[in-house]
Amino acid sequence: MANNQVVNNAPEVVYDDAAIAAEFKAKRAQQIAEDCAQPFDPQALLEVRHLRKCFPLQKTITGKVTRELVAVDDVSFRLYPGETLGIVGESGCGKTTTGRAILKLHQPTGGQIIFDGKDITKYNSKQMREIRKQMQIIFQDPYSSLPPRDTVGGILSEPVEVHKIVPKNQIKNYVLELMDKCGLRDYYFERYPHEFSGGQRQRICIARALSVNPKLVICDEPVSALDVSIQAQIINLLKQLQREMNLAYVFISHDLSVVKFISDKIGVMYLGGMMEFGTKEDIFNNPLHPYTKALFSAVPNPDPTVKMERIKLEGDIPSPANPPKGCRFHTRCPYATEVCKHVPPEYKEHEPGHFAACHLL
Amino acid sequence: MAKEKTSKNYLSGKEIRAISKANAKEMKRLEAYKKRRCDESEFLSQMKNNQNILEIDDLHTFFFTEQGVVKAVNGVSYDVPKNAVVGVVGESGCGKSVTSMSVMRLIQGPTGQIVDGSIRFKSKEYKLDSKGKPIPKAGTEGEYETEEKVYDIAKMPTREIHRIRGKQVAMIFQEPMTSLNPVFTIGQQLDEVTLLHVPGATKEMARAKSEEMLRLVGIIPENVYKAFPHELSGGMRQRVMIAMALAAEPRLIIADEPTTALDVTIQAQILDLLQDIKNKIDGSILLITHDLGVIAEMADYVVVMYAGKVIEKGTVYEIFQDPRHPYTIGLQKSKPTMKLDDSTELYNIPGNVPNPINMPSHCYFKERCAMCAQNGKCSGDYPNMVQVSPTHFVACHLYDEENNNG
Repeated sequence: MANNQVVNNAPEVVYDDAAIAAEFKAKRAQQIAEDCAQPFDPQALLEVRHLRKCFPLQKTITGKVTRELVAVDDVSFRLYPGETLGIVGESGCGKTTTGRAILKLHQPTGGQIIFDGKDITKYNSKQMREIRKQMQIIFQDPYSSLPPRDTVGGILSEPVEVHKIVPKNQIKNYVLELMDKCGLRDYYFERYPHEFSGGQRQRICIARALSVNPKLVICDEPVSALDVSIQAQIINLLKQLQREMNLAYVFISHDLSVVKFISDKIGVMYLGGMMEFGTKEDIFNNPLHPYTKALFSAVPNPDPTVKMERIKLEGDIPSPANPPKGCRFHTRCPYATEVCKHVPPEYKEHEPGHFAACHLL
Repeated sequence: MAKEKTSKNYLSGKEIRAISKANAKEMKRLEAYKKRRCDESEFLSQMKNNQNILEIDDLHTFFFTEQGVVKAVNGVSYDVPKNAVVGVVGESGCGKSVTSMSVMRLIQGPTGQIVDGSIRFKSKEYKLDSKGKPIPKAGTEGEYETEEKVYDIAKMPTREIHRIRGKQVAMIFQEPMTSLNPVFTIGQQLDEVTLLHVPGATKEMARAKSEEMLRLVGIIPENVYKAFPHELSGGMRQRVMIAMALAAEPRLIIADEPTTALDVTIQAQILDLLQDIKNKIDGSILLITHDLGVIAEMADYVVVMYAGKVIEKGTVYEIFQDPRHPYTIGLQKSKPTMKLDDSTELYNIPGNVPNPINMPSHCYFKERCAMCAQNGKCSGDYPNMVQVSPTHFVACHLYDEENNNG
């Protein structure tokens, strides 16, 4: 009600969408240029500045892209050693693309990725090979991410051999030690992946990622394919390994309760853009963005006595190939006003370390 | 040691042939039983409790594989009362889906067979006159006189099952992406339900009914009736699936993981819709899921399954506030919740589900159980169901004594 009145009393504003878009684009280009020229944060392990990734949808015969899908649009964050950053969002919001772009499995279209004080955005595949020793990924589906024709020992020895982590005659001992650390028995060394259950396979995937002593591990939905009781085992293992090896995680998940359990900082993404970013306490105790609030209220509570008041979101997530004008979220936002439909909101710091992109704040 | 392990995991050709031969005999017998022609009286039955709409009693559904017989459902019993939501929880492979598929008689034969037990369903049948045609209700159009009959679905021959499947019991599948036919429009697929199940239905009647159902699930029919499934989003497809399940006015809806493939915000929409629909139609819902949160929010009664057996059942308050079985307790503790203090380690149930082919004779949960050491009985027979309250049952030796004393 209050919102409606404000809109009615305000003088009629005519929004010129083209002009707004042009202005926004120019402003952002300037912002990006400014930010990217700044010196790197020496403490940060990973710094992502205005990351952008587009996929071509349509090309002319000369190869010029006429339509593109902006999968990740202007995402920035910093991650320090030993920390966990959780990225949450619905399917199609660009969280996996962000993870893969950090590893440069996708070449970013724009922005900067600074890893360990080096700008790796322009690195070629040969230079990346050195860097990949320090950054690894765990995939979602443990059933399809292990080679079926290789034994567990072979799978785990290969990265050690390729990256020359230890001398050749010590590889087997090193791998056995690693398997012990990840909760795998030593006689699994000779076995093949198909002999294991989902939880055990995910342990093999974790062991493989850790075999090269990385500093950063991207966990792309590592527990969503597993059962609840197995999920808990894997989460505990990840936490324990983090303490032991001082790892930094980028933990991508759609399950908010898991993300809350494991993360220090959380980023909420929607349709390619970062909607809110802050420490776990900020995000869970004081969510600013209406999308974050709605997302939290949608999680079913395993307590039958508590009936939660839900913020209902109408409709579906729009197609990222054709995102709405103005604020990305306005089509589903219960508090959307006229401004939201035309002017994209600025992503800015509302409290120290707590960022959000919304006109209502 | 190593040799012993190999012999357990791998079978010789001779062993496989012996198993296949035994299986083939058994499968042939069961297939013939399904194909038999018989009189209705052979599968008519009586309900134990008249308030129930479905009673599953000591159901055994086995899969005859080359590695041996997989006892996917091994003596499951539970009831679905009228106008209630019964939630079935369990890990993947515990037999919760196979139980529901048995109710629908959709188990893939000849390997999968209902071997033993009964599934009693209270069906609403049209009264037939001497010529075998339904008697129209006086003063109405397209409505017929009905009567209630109790059928034993497990004993019904395959050719009789269409009386129930899709009409009296409808199913909402897990994957809305793959369970709609991609080559027919939504309208055609919805109309088919009415045309098949309502005697004397015309195309116009079917279309009117389909549009009514689409409106009921919150879709504007004009946009969707002529659309193909690929034009709709996941949430919309799941709504269409629900509309399709409702079109024949079923008495029981089986929702097999209806929201697992959907995002949280869409999941919230679908759960609200199911809740709404339950109030509108005069029927029950059997909700199968592995998400405890969904169960807590939706269900009135909860059945917890583990390795093909029911280990605990009761009302939703009993299961969530006073869980008795160590597995139920562990399951609830191992789920990270929004309120949990996250400085501590998450509780986890060690180990894995036992191999379904060589099930032990003692309690299936013994190897993973945290409370087992207190009780020597656990190495003995499989525990019986113990009643702890009028509605609360648990299968665990820990409560045997309690019951005897009380």
